[in-house]
Amino acid sequence: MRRSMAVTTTLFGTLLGTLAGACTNDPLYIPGAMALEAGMDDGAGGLIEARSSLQLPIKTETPLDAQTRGTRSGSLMVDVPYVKVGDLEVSVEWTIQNLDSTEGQARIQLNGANEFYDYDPALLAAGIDEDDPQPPGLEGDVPLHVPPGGRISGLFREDQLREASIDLDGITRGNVNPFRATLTVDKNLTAFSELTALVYDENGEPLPQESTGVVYPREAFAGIVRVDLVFKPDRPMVLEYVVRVRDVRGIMHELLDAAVVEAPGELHTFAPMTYAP
Amino acid sequence: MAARMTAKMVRIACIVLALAATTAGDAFARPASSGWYAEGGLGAVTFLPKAYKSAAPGPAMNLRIGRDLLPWFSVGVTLAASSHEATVPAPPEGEWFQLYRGGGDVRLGGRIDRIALFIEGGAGLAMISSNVLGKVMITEPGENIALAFHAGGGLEYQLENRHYAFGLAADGFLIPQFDALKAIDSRLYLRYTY
Repeated sequence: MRRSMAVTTTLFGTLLGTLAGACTNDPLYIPGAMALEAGMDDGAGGLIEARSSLQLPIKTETPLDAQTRGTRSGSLMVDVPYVKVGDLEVSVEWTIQNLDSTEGQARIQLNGANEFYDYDPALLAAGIDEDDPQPPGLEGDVPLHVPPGGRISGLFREDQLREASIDLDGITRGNVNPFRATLTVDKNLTAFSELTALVYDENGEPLPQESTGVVYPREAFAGIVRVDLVFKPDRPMVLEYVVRVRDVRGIMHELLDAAVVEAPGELHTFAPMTYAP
Repeated sequence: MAARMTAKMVRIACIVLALAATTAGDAFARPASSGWYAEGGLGAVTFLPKAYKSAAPGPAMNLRIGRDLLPWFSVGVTLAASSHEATVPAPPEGEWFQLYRGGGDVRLGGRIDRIALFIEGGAGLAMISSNVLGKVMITEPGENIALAFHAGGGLEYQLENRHYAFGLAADGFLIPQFDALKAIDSRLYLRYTY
């Protein structure tokens, strides 16, 4: 009898432990602020694009975390960010509703910011001839067919957001050419080198770059803290999205987007610089 | 309506108590152990309006440890977990959440030969694994733990071994803080009495 009792107690304890552990990495959902309507005539021969940004509600860094990070930065000889790749696993789920009675095409471009830099290819495109390749977005920009009056859904997966984070850090802190960064698979990189500044010749071709000797190991890769979407349909359509976060390190604010109103002082304020090479 | 429900519950309780009174002193044709017991069950949780539009029925597991204090009265603690697809308006789509429940309850019942009938009720805590139901305002920001109440009944079939019984039970539960979420937890279980 004692043995049976012990077995039951162990089973009960195991279930309790499993239940407690099961909740540590559950997804959190942060809806986009509003539905994005785009694709209407802008009156100048073009079509209206819609943009949306969603800042992840991340708690203020604790003094202990800041101290640990400072020590780590000193030993690695590079800036270690508060939010690193792997601290948060982010994905974006979306649906597109075609408001028109004919089949249409839409693109969703994903960009974003880490705590050091934000990346907006539209700003980089200034001065580039329209016929030349335009600076790429970090993810997406794939043509999607939407049936007349229909609805489609999809997502940017966690590994795509991880890739986007690493590309963003490589482009901004590492001076990696945006085309090279986005066309190569970097999500499993263990380190990247900072390159010399990106310079173009008189034909607009990038000149070879060399390593400066500064190496960013994976534990210093900056994670994305803001998700930016650009919605580009060819006829009136509506985009709705939700950002899904698995909080691996436990740094998201428990009130999520409501914290902006209810506890703004408990949110970490990031001030990324706009990337402009 | 609530008064009628309460009256009905009282009537059922009276019947079960009468059954317990008439049978408790008898020598059972099939002996059953009494005292500490453990139950493990598998079943399903089905949400009732209005949450049923936002959460699909899902598989559930239950564990219960209790003690028979009298032939017709026992107390216990329960743990339960169930998994459900969130059917909220997209996005998100195809996402699942888990509902964990734990608490204490009392059970009243009686037995005729190899069949036992019981009713039970109790209170505890419920925890939801994500805020996916926040989109339909079932949960509020930062809210994932809430008080829960449950009540229900079931029947047990005593096996020839006096320690073991199989049972079928259904409990309704109410979580007022989660927008008064209501659901039915039905289960098949195995009971071992020490």
